[in-house]
Amino acid sequence: MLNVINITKEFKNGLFGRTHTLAVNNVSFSIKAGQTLGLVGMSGSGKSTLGRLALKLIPCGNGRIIFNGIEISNFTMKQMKRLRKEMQILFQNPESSLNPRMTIGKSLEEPYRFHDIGDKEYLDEQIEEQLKFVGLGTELLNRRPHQLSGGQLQRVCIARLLLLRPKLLVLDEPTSMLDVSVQAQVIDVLKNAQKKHGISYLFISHDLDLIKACSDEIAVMYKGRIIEQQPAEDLYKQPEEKYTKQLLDTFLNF
Amino acid sequence: MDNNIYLENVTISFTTKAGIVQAVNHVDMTFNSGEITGMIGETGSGKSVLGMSVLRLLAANSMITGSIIYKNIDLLQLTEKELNQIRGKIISFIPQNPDTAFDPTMTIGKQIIEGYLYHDKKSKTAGISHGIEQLQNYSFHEPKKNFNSYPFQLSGGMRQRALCAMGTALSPEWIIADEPTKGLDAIIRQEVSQVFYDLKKTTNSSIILITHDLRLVQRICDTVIVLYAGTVLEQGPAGNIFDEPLHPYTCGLINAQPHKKLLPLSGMPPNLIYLPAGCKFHPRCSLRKNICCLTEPALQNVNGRWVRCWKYA
Repeated sequence: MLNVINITKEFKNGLFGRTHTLAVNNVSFSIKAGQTLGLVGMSGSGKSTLGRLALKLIPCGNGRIIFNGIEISNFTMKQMKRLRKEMQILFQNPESSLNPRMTIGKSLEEPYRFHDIGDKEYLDEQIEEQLKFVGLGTELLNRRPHQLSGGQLQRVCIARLLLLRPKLLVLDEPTSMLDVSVQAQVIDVLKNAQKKHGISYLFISHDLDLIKACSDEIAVMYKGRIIEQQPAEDLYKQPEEKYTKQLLDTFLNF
Repeated sequence: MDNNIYLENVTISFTTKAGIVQAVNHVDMTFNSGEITGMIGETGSGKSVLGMSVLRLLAANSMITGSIIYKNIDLLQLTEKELNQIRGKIISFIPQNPDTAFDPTMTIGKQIIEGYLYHDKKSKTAGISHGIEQLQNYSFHEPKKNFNSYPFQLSGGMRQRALCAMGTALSPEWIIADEPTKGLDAIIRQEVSQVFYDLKKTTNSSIILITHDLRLVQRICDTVIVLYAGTVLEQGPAGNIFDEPLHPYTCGLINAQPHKKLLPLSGMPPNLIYLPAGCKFHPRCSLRKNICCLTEPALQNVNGRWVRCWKYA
């Protein structure tokens, strides 16, 4: 589904861009269709940057990105627009991912309008179906984001993504702002969506418990590099790298 | 005279356009001094509201009845001026969300020592060295540099630690911390929790920890209080509650954790304007009986723990 080969990203900041930060350093990974790759690491290890690079939300320096057999590393933004439907991202904070001035209904319609798919009737039908799928009702459509709870908003965001029938979703810490029980609900919805539509996930999180429960394979990131990648079960049983061991130890024996 | 905080029949409501929101309903409890008390529950269960009410930090449309007694003084009867002598110095509050808790136009250092200068009436130089010392305690690698940074120049974890430094700068007797580990990664989370643990040991501070992080509660808390829709459903020693939860809601919360079953609780928390009759949890409870829908159970003593459920009546 997605193949990322030797990708590198360097940020320049400070006066005249004299400070260089190597956020992602020569990273390769691949995600199979309908599977979940978990990405763990500390804050600042480059997880989120890598997620955004994979979707070409930020331009990459070197390296190749192959999505569904098409090399997209050199695509322009216009060429990307067609593919955007199929590759989407779910952000950490649902409160800041929706426009506070738009009703939930308008927010849900927006990507549809942008990609110009189907007529209004079909759209309404689809919205109702997806809202039902994520466990919400149509009475929310006329409300605004501040009237909903964090868990409801995150589910609205998921419904909005599913409307476009994506093939790949980057989940950037989708539940770190939510409480345990709501987290379990959101994960449940995401797992069902994967089963139903065969979506591939790149699951970014620093919650090692959560990532274990959700991923087929797990990659560990440290200072911009993927230092280890293993099937989920194996990683917890026999981590190879010293850093992974330390990470698991800190979290699980907490 | 002990240093416990006693809550007696505390009820908190907010008047809004939609109606009266009953955030906390008739809570009677004691926060024991020298302990870390964890308050857990879902969003909207009244944890933060209850924590903030101790220092009367709630919005103007709130109504608090009952009494909160500390050292024979009812905190709810004090004037604003008297209360300011307690805030930060004797009881301090660490708000949630460090992104919005800091003033973006002031340096971190200035904000940390603001309370210190107010209460202890020390010179500014003494304040600055005290502030830098505080940052050092919270494992900042360059405390002098960070002291003069603005909030946006620090990472999320650093801001959270700076906020903790601000709350503990005057070594208060009581610290109320609202979600101090939200959104932090494993290593910083461990650092912050260690800080609370050490605080309790070295300064003998008492801590009220408001959190969703059940692992954190399990690790550092002595007593746990489970809140739901503004009522206490279960209260007891942390070890017991996690090994053998009594209330169906507590079981549900524990099973929702990713390393347990990742099983969501069915349904949604109730609307706080129209609370259900009887047990507040009954619409979501799998063990519901007829009586649960009609009358609210009282807190029962079961083997030295307190639980509010008809199952144990």
